[in-house]
Amino acid sequence: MTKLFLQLSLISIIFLSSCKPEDKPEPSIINLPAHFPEPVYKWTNNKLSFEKINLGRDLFYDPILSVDSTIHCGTCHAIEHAFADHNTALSFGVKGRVGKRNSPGLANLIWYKNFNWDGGVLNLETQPVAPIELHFEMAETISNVLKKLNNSTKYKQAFKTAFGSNEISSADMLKSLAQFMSSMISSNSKYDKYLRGEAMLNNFEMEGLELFKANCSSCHAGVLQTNFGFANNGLTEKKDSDFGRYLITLNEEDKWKFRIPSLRNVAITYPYMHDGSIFSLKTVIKLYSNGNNEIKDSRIPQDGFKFTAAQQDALYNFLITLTDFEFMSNPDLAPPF
Amino acid sequence: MQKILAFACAIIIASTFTSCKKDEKNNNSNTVNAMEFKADHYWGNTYTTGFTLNKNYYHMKVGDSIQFSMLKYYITNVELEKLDGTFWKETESYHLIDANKGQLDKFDIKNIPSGEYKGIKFKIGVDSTRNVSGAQTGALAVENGMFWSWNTGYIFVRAEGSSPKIKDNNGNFVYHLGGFKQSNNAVRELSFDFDNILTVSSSAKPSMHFKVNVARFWHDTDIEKVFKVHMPGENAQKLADLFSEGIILDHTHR
Repeated sequence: MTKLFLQLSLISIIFLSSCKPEDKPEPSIINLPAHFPEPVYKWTNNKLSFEKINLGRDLFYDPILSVDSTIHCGTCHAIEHAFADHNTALSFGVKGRVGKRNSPGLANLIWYKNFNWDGGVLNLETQPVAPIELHFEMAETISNVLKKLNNSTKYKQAFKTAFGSNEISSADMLKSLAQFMSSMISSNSKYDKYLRGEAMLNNFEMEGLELFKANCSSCHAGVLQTNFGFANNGLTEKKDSDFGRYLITLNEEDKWKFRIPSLRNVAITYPYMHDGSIFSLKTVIKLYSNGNNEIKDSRIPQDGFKFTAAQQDALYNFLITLTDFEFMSNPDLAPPF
Repeated sequence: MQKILAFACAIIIASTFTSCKKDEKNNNSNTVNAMEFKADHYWGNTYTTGFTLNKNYYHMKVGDSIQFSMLKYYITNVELEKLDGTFWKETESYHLIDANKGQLDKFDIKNIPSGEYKGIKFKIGVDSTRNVSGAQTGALAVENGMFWSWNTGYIFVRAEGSSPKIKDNNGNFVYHLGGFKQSNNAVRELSFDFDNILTVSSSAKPSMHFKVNVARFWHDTDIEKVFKVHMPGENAQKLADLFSEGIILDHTHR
């Protein structure tokens, strides 16, 4: 009898523990890298499941999201380019429309408080609304996407399985996209392996790392190489009518400031800068080395960091260690069809 | 002994099941209790000329006619004042009024605890939390056209139309009023006392008849200069002030 009591108590304990809020993902679904900080997006109100992640992947790669079924998210965020564009300066939308900025690589999105070059979007779940609806991108309306999805037997069934709903809602669509995007975790570059004690950096790469730490890490900080801030690196003021961060905050001091990007997979995601104006990584290093009298950020000396040719090479070699080849060939992130 | 133990176990299990419910109701509310919120639209501060979309109305201060093609706005965070001065708050209190439905649009405030009420307060706009909490449903779903995709936030009041007075932008005005961040907060809170004590019960569904003067936007705004407001800022705040000034509680029905 005591045994029966224990068994029943155990059952009730299991039920009790199931009442805890689902803050942390189940380890079997998404593994958070031990050497990364706490994520910002925590799947609150969006309980992780394989069905939802897979549904999000189907949507990510389906041109049904664009007005004329020509482009999908992967068109400008291609896995083989670390989810950046196909080495084009500016993103291309439907009907030959050219966007105003470079499509950034996507990785480790759950660590971001805001999105886009100007930081205008404040939640991973609502981010896809912008590319779907913007005239220069997919030029579609969310209500029409819902109409198309609700007319598809495949999606009706997939949403029913994933969310238990008979009618596909925008909230469920955005939540599944957020789940897929939250699974884009890049943590297996050579540099990650070095941090975990699984790989060595050579002398050249080590010299680059030291230079990077000393000169670049106030902006490109931490294991994700960004402090998540915005800066005016002097590239644009005279030629560019894109005011960047100012368009969101309307603070004068934010004019021509753009996101300080993570440098993860930076060797793969060329061309560089918000406007894709610099094609090679070596040119970027040279730019910061030589300086520019338009630079408006006190962290960057106007006459540059004055790296020698050998130091520039070392930095270049270090930046290559940030490439995560496993990320770019992860079948779970690749197009499903 | 065995029976007692088994009974005790059953109680433990039963209590763990019930403890999983998230929103335990701590009142004896009848779930069908409701109150009706009517939003009746007018042109002018005498509230005599009914207003509908796609019709020309003359504006004295503007000195020309104005026509609307769209008017939508959020009524949210509804609270009813009890006789003792405390408030009952509606849960998931987000309602979208759309003038496309005619001069009068309405919604029900539901699940109100039985009792007597003497007043109401609510917000025009969406509280900051829901602006940044990710994908929302119902009145807040993104497909309602009240969400800025590139600069996260809800449009609290969306008014569009035209006037011969506007020389630019093909004569169109576009007022997308919003902003939840401190410096440019365009959420406006309104409170009203009822003309009678209203009793809510399963057999009594009172009604509140609000009147909205949509001409109020230009009480103090130069339409020739301010015709395009599509992000948070000074103009959005001023127009949000004016819009809420035009809302009165005309009468109630017991």
